[in-house]
This record gives sequence, C-alpha cells and structure tokens, in this order.
Amino acid sequence: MLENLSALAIVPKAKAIAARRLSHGDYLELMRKRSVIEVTAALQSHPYFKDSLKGLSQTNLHRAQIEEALSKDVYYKYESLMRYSFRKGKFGAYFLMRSEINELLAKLRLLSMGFRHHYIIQVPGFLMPKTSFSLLRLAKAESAQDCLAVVAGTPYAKVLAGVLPAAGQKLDYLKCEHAFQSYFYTTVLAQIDRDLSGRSAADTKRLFRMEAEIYNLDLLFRAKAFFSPQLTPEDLKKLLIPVYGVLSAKNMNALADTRGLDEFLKLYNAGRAGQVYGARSADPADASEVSETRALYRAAQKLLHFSSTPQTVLAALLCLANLERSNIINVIEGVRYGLSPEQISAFLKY
Amino acid sequence: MGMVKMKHINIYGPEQDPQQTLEVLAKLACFHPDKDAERINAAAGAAENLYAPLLASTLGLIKDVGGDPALQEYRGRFFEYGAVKDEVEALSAQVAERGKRQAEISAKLATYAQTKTQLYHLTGLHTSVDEIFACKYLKVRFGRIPKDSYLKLPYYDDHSFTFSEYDFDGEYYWGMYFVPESHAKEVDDIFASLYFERMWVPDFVHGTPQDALAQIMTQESELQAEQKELDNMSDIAAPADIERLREYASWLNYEMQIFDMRKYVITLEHTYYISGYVPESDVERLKQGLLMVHGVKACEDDEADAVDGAPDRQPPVKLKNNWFARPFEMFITMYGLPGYGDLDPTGFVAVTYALLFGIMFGDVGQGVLLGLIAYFVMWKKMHMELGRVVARCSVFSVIFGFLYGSVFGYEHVLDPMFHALGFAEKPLEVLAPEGINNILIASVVAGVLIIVSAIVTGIISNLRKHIIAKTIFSVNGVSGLVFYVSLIALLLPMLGMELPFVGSVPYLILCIAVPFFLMYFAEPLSALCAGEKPEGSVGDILLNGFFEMFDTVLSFASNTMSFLRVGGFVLVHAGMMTVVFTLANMTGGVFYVLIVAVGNVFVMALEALFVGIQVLRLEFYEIFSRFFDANGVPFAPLRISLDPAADKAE
Repeated sequence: MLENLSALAIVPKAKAIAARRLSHGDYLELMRKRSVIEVTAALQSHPYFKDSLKGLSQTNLHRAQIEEALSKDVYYKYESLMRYSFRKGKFGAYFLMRSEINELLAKLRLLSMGFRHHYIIQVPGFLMPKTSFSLLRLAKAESAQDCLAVVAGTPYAKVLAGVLPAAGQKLDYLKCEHAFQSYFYTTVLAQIDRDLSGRSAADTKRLFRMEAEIYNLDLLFRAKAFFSPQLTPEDLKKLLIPVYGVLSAKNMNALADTRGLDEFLKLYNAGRAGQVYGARSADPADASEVSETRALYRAAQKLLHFSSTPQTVLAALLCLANLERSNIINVIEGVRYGLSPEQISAFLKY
Repeated sequence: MGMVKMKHINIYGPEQDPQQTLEVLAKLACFHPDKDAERINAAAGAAENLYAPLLASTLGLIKDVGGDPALQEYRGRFFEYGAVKDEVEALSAQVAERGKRQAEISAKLATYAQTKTQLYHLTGLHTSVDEIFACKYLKVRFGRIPKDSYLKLPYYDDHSFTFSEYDFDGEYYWGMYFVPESHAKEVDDIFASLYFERMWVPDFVHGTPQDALAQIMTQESELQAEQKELDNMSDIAAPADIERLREYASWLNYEMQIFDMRKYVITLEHTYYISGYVPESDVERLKQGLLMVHGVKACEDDEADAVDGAPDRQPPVKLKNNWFARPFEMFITMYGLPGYGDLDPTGFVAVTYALLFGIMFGDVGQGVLLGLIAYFVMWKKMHMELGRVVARCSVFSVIFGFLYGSVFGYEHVLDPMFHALGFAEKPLEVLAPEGINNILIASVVAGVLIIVSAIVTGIISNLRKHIIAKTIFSVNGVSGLVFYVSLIALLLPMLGMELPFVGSVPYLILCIAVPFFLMYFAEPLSALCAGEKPEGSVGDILLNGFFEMFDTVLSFASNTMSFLRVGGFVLVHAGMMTVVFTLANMTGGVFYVLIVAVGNVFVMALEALFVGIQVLRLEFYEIFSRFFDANGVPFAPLRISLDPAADKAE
C-alpha cells in the first residue's frame, strides 16, 4: 500500500497534524471549564478539531454526540493521510478493520445483555458508507446468527462462526472479544511483516504488541479483582490475546496463574510489567490502567517523533489520536461531574 | 538648565470652609499641595463627593442624547445642585423609557432574524403552515437532524412517520416529519435519540414559508423604521438643552474637583490649613491672588525648603530648560524625574541625543525633509512633542550629511562644493573600505567620551549632595572613572598612540589596582567613613565584592562596546541607500525616479524609527545608569482638569 512515493508525504503530514494536538496547557484550560458546553466550545475553536466538531450545536448538545464527533475526528485524520496512498487495503486498512471489529463487538455485547434494538443509537453515522458490511443491517440483527448473515463474505464471518453458541445457549461475549481481538492483532502483525522489515517492522509491531499486552494485563487485573472465583486461571489463559510485548507468554501465564488480586499485584509489581508500565494497586480509586496507557502514549510519541517510515508514523499518530479522544472524554466526564482539575488529571493518558 | 526653585507656603484661613481659597489656588495653578493632609484625612474618612455621580450621570445623558460629552472650560456660572439633579434625572428617565422601547424592538428583530434563518431552510415546502398545523390526527415537527443521524433513518422504515427534508447546509438536514398522534411520543423519542433539534414556528408565521418570509420582512422594515425614529433624540433634548447639559457638566466637573481638593486641607475648630510648594517666581502672584479671600494668610516656610529633609517631604520637581533642550524633557519624564536639587540631565540628553541621531542619520536631503515633516506635521498639526525633538535632531542630520557628502543617498552631488572650498574630496567616505574601521573606532571613542561625561556628571551631582564616600569609592565615582579611563588608556597603543607613563608598574598600581580595590571594598569603606561597622563577615564582603567587580568590569566593557551601534547605523544607512540605487539603476526613466523616491521615503521612515529607539536605549541604559537617580516627585499643582480620569491615571 505505502510503497509508492506519494506515501512518503504521509510522514510530514502526520507530523504536522500531531503538532497541533492539545498541549498540557490546553488540557488544563479544558479541565477548568464549568460545563460540557464550555468544553465543546473550546474544542471547536481549537485548530486540531475545528473541522470535525463544527457541526455540534452549542445549545442542544449530548455527550454521546461529542464522543461520536471525536471518533469522527480521528477518522477524518486517517482519511486525510490515506489520500496519499493510491493502493487501498494492506497495512492502512488496519484502522477500518479495527473500527469494524469494534462495531461488531458493540452489537454482540448488547445482544449478550439482551438488548436487541439499542445498537442503532451508537452506530457512528460517518462510518456507515465505509464499512465492508452494512451497519444498518447489523443494527437490525436480533441474534448472533443474524450478525453472521450480515458479515457474510467478509473475513469476520469465519471468526464469528467459530464463537457462535450452539442452539439454545447464551452468547459468550468474552469468547467473541478474544476471538476478534486475536484476529485483529495477528492479522495486523502479519501485514507488518509483509510490508516492512528490519527496524521499521520492529518499531511498528512494538506498538501493537504493547496495545495487546495492555489489553491482556487489564483483563487479568479485572478478573482477579472482581471475578476471581468465577474465572479460573485456565479460563483466563484462554481469553488472553496470543500476542506478547515486553512480557513473554510464560510471564503472562504466570500472572494468569496467580490466586487472587494480592498475589497478582505482588508478581506484577515485582516483575517486568511493573518496571515498564508502573506499579498497580488494589485501591479502587487508583486508575491503575492509566499508567499502562501512559507507557503506550510515550512509546507512540517517541515513534512519531523519530520514525520516518509512513506505516510507523501512521500507526503512531492514530494511536495518539485515540488516546487523545479518550483523554477528552475523561475531561468531559470530569467536568460534568464537577471534579477538580487535579482529580481529572489522574485519568489522563499523557 | 535645571529646575524651578520651589518655596514652601503655609496657608491659613479663619473659618472651616476652604472653598474660596481652593478656587483661587485652582485658578492660579501654581500650588503643589503636601500629601500629609491627604493621609490624615484618609485615616479620618473622607466626606462623599456628591458631584461625582451626578457628573457621571450628566455626561452619560449627554452622550445618550447625541451630544459631545467632552468637558468644556467652566465659565463661572453657578447652578443649584438640587435643580440640576432633578432636571438630569427627569431627562434620564425619558431616555431610559426610549431605550426600553429600543431594546424591545431589537429583541423582536433578533427573533425575526432567527425565524427567517429557519424559514429559509423550509422554502422547499409549498404548503401553508396553517394547514399543516390544522391537521387533527397528524402531528408535525419542524427542525433539523445531523447528517450522521440522517443516515440512520432507514432503520426506522417500519415506524409510522415520514421525514421530508428541504435543505442541507453541509452539517444538518432541515425538514419536518409527520407522525400520527397515537405514535407521536414514540417517534419523538426516536428523533430525540437521533439528536433532532426541533424548531418552534412562531405564532405569527402564517401561509407558506415563502409568504411567511415576506410577511416577516415587511414587519422587519416597519420596526427598523421605528428604530431609526427612536434613535433621533431631538424630541427629548433639543440642541439648546444639550448645550445647557454641557454647561451643567462643566460646572459639576469644577465643583467635583474643588471638593476633591479638600483632602489636602486640615480643618481645625475655627481654622483650616493647607501647605504645599509654589515656584519661587509665583509666590507673589499667589499672595496677591489670596488677598481676594477674606482673612486668609499665606507665609513662606524656610525650613521645609531644605533639600535634605525627609524623603517623602522633598519639594516637587519642575524642569526648566532652554528652547533647545525643552522638548527633550519628555525623555527625562519617561525615565523618571531627578530629585529636587539634583542635576537635571535634560541638557546633557539634548546634546548627546541630537548628536548621536545626527551621526547615525546623516543625510542633507533626508535631514531637511525629516525636519520639515517633524515640525509642520508632527508638531504644528498633530501637536506631538516628539515632533520638536525630531526637528532639532534633523539639524544635526543635515550637518553630518554635509560631512558624509550625502544628499538623498547621492554620495557625490556635493563634490563640486567641496572642490570649490579647496578640498580634494568630501571629508568622510562612509562606504570606503579603509574608512569603515575608522568609523567603528570613532563610535567607540565617542562612547568612551560620553560614558566619561556621564560619570563626571554623577560625581558632580554627588558632591553637590555632599555624598563624599559614594563620590570617591563608587563604580560611578572617582575610583570608577580613574579605573575606566586607565583601562582605556592601555588600549591606546592599538591606535598607534604611545604614552610614556601608560603601562608602567606605578601606572598599573596607582591607576588600575588601587581604584579596583577601592571599588571592591566600597561598601565597608563607606560604612567606616560614616563611623559605622561594616555589615557582614569578611567572607561575605570578599564574595560580594568579587561578584560586584565582575559585574562592573563586564558592564564597562559592554557599555563601551554598545556604542559600536552608532558606527553600525552609519554604515547601515549608507548601505540601504546603496541598495536603493542598485535597484533604481536596473531600471530607467520614470521607474528610476520612482524607486529613488520610494526608497528614500522607506529608508527615512525605517532609519528614523530605529535610530531614535537605539539612541534612546543608549541614553537610558548606558548613560543614565551612570549618574541618574530618578526619585523626583513631579510638580502637580492644583488645577481644574478637563479630563480628570486621564490625569488620575497618570
């Protein structure tokens, strides 16, 4: 996809986009706002967002609208960079693949909870013309089988078919999530190996491995903290994405094998995970996963700054854009619930 | 050159009301009051000045009725406070009433504007809104839906509603949906979940959207016409009324300021007392003026004239300079006034500023043009004090322009004149390679002379104030002068000047080492001379001295080198004109003339600005820092101001 010379334009363009991101001072300003509308107005006047948020109404605003607008912003940035690549598909397609998988999982999650008609509310309208299957049909699906019919002809059909429950049985959402996340990461990593080599491949893969690893660690933490008797170590190992970063499979399995949260934390903090991602604690007020994501942020920032490979820069920018989206949503929630800037800062990933 | 001699005057009055006395003092405008009474009266609590709020209301009223709120000179006519207050309040009420109606019209016009915006999006609908709203079993909702949500509408195909869009503005689809009354709530919820923003069509909208638009535009014109009528205030206040209001304002301003002056008056049981400073030349005028007030006495107070009184009781400073130096007082005031009795640096600044400006902006033609613009445009027309400064500087520009032989950038147009005078060539060829070094060296030499003059000025000033220790030991005193001049003398061999004594061991000891150590230990030595014990331990004194001397040597060097910019700007000026002529020579005919003219104007404007700023920087930083303590209090006599707010800000 990105072998042609025009793809090299992605690097300066991506760095130019990244240069306009929210600064620490911008975040502080946002955290001092007193209402969601003030935050939105501030974002609308910021050069990084002015195109994607301009449609938001100042007087009649819902939080979900802002979240969708922020997702749209990330997508617009992706689209603006993909303009420089004439060959669609291959590495750059990972972004759409992730978006499609996220939508599919959202529908399956709602179905597993018994909500058959709620998905339409959260369908991102801007994605509807872009996906390889119809999001409207997905919204109308009333069972996992219906979902399978919707994704027929796409690679997701095979993945979904593998996790469909037998007749009369409940849909296991965790199994679905594991299947699709594993598919995503193994597909992307394989694509990177085909498209890149050497240092560039290693750098780009490191980012995705880190993401997968954070997912696994978070899964283990939550399982140990809240679902310890129900989910056994064997169950947990089956739910781990088979992609490893700083921790080897052995270390990850060792964490899965721990009995209870205390033992998990002891092993986590004493080992490589604690060194790389920072210590975690059992305190419910401690947003421990934030420190892991901060490590991801720093890694992406470093890659964006130092790399000159279009694929790597693209992946780094989109990773940072998604983290920024998450930060802004945290700020909006914090402002909405009247938290102080210090309290909100604890949740920000930068 | 210097400052006006002041006399301290005490004024006593027999009763408790100092009104007449204050009016006389304000009229004479030569009495600067002491601040002691202000502090005492502030502690006791000041009476409320009733004139101030009424003045503010009157000025506001004048502005509202279309008059000029600028205060005019008070002509002495007295008005009765109560009557003025009643009249102003009555007129203000009428204006407020009119303002209320104007606000109503504005709000209505805003509503019309908003409705029009919405109706423009519905012009695709060719049905009367009355018919639509008359439907008994169908509910209709007008509004807009985001484009992302619009894409989701097909999901609800099996629900009982129809959405028709009439316009798309890039982000929203404008339209309406019909729904049976029985399903209205469900469908309203669906559209709410799709972020549909409902538009409420006002009751006054009838017919099709096009008809409604036409109606609204007609009503809009009527309201705008009414608004225009209401803007005309002549039925509330005729020109004669406005003139009367302006007289009230000037009287109120007068009374307000006289009342305010009471803060300087100390009132006792049967007398009042006010003291302050008067220029010596105005003392008799003051005494004559106060004769008009019954029982008031004014006497001079010799003790308070002493310059070495308490710091906050220093006489105020009013600069007095000759015709040439007077405009340069604005630079001194900008920096800060010298203390009473100190040396007034205005004359020094006038000469150095004009000279340096002339050196850096040396061109006969440009100097003449600059002088004409400065005098006739900046001073005569625009009343800018800077115009007088620049006009004086331009004289020196012309003089140095002759020295450089430059007229509007033409470097050789004066050659016949020099030949006629017996010179082989013009005195100074600026851009000649062999001359560039000389120009730069001359700049540094000029800088050294100016710095030495500044230090000598500081020495004289300290001697006048009898500050002997500082005069001898300070960096800007005798020690500093000897040290600096001796260091400079060591560099003379580089210029080919050999002096026998310079560089010898006795020279190094007497002229470098001794002053160095005197400056190093200036503070403890000054303390010892005053009969006091030096502060700090030996270590502290040595350490402080080290850093002080490091800073001293560095500042001597940097201050001296700073004058290189003088030579630099001489070269820049010539260089810029060279560029202008290079460009002009590439063309010909009319374009040549045009380029030369525009180039001259451009260089003049740019160079005049830069040179003016650079010379001011040299004055403030390199020169003033050597001798000028700007701790003077400006002379601010009691007087009636026509812009009290601006005077207060100053």
